[in-house]
Amino acid sequence: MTDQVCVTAENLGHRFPGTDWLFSDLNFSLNPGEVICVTGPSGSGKSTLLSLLAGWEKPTSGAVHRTGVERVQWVFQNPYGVPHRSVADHVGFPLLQQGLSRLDADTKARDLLARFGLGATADREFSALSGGEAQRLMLARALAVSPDLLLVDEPTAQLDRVMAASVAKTLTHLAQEDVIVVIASHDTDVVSQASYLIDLGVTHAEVGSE
Amino acid sequence: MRFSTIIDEAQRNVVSGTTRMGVGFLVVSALLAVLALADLLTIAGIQNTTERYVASGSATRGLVAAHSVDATACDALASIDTIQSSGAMVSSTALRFSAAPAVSVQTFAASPGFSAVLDITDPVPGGVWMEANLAATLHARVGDIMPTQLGVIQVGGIFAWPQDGRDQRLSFAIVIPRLPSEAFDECWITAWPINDANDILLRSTQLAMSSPGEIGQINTRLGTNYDAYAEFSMRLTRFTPLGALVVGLSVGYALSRLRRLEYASALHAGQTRSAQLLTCAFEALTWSAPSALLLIVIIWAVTAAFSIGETNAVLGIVGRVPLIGAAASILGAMIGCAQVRERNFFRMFKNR
Repeated sequence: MTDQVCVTAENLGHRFPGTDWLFSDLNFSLNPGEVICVTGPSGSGKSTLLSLLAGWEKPTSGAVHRTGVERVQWVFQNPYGVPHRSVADHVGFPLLQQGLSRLDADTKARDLLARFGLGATADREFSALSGGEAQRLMLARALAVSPDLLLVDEPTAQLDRVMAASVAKTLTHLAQEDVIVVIASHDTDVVSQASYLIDLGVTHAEVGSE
Repeated sequence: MRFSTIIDEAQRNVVSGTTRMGVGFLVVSALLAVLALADLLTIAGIQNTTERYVASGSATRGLVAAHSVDATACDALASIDTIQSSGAMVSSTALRFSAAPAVSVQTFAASPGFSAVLDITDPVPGGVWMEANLAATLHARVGDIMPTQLGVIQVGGIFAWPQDGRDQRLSFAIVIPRLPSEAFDECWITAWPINDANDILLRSTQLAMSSPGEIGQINTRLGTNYDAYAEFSMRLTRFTPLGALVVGLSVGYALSRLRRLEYASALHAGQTRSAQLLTCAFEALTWSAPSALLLIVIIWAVTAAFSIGETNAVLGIVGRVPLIGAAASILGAMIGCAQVRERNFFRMFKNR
């Protein structure tokens, strides 16, 4: 039931041993259809907050409650792929895990690639992609998993303005497909598309509507 | 994930070079080859030592009992599995060849089985057996007819009797085959492996037990108690299967760890652990199995080419190295793969 999917942060705080608090007392609730942007300078804990939401790290204080979240996908700032496998293979792989045939997975993978402007690169090796293309490929691959929660770290850092705006719009559309999209970014285009903002750049993190 | 898809994915990884199949094949093959050849050479060394020991007469023992050895019983000992050859002999009248009348050649009479003790193959019936140095001196060859002071004789066989510590009575001597119709002085047996029971068998050929004959080794220079089995079972390279296990596990594990980001990414993309382990095992199989096959062929070829014992027996011993190495490679790859956690994905990216 999609209306049950929800991620809630309750008095969330985190610090690494021997360091100051990155953030503390964060309270927010994330629902399907929302795009949440996490901003702040380098080292302010954006990626750490994403890892707490993914459940890959335990918070120092408070808690993250994930209700109905079965599939979490993370798109990292530095795209990772298997150098000599094709672009279509990268997107088709999660679909094969879902039981699709090779033919069906390939067809669907090419549709997803086209959505990110990568239709012409489908048969290229991953190693032949530019940084921006690889970043978009990772978004397409993440979508192939049909995630409930999509965590995206600096998705537009390696893209030109036009492509960055396009990706930001795509991420917004994704949210409309009942996906919770959390983006760590400085990009004003991304920030402007967000449902609301979590700013880790202030002394005490603030959560507010954009 | 369907089984056919798992195999298909593994094949694509192999074909694309993602699995580093070539590296795995070369490294594992090279290391296992060193281990296998080390064991093979050690076994060949033991085999050579054994052959030299037997050929030198060190594995030949003789019962000396004047005029009281049953030559028929002595010849019959060769039918026992552990006894390679047996035969009786007795001193005879010295011969003088017309070509060298001043030289008196020591002569023995021997039962037919004695030709095998002297390692003469296909002796000419009715001919005498001549020691190789004597034959060279007289320019005699097998089949030659040679006049002596007792009449002509035919050379029925030539045997080597080097001066390497063995009983020198047969050096520069003639042995004349004689039917075992009367008592002989000595019974010799060549037996391998050496067994204390052989002496009991030797004594059984003595006709009169009033004065027990003496038993001795024909050549003692290489020792009286060489134990090839102990040398084989205590050889240092007996641990090579263990080495193969370590090599296989290490190489398989290392190649898997090089791909840990890929494995973590695959888990993140929804691949199940079982599907991943199966893919990993199949990928490792594609380089470890050809490696094992190649090494087994090499071991077989080397064993056959250099006649290192029985090919099948040696292959059964040394062949364990590539087989264990291949199986361990697959296991090592699976262990390396199983250690990857999806949650490590984040940490790996932070540390990249």
